[in-house]
Amino acid sequence: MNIGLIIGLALAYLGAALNIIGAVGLHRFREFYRRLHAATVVNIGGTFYPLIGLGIVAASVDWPMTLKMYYIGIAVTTALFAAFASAAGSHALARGAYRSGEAKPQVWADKLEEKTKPKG
Amino acid sequence: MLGLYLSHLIVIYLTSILIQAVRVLRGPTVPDSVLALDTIVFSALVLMMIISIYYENPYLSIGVLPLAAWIFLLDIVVSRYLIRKGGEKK
Repeated sequence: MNIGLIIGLALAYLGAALNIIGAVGLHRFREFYRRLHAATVVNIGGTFYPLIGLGIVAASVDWPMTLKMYYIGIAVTTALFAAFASAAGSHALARGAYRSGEAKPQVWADKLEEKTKPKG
Repeated sequence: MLGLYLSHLIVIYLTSILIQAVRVLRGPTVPDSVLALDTIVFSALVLMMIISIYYENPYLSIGVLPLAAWIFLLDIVVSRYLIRKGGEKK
């Protein structure tokens, strides 16, 4: 085994462990706004790192060059897009949930509600 | 040798997707279900990529990037729907 294969598989295993941890966290946290933390662990830790790792794995096995480049291109492009899309998507979802009153945050004081409430 | 490690990863990701699927079905509110669906699809991206490398067949990995774009679009659409619904309620 060469060094690229070891680094890539280590990243993929790290991502798999983070994916399991985040999946358990989705059940352990009580409300929507706390589950956003667990979902970020799955989306960034469990998707971005393994895809980069699989790109390194595909680069370091002895396959034809066209096949390698195909895998590396798809893995890196998808990893970068997922890092952008998961952050923007969960932000939009949290905004929608708060503005519609679908999920109420369990907090002592809600400063955002005071700020967004119409005066008078 | 690579196939053995990749098969471990396939099993771990399938277990994780099953755990997250319970949250989709049980989620008390709509945003909870959509958030869990988000994590399922992002795990399925990695799973498709792993299976594609396992079988050395590049055709399965074609759908990976459109799937990521689709789940981003789903988040935006659900967010707009929730905001519109909340505005009608007031």
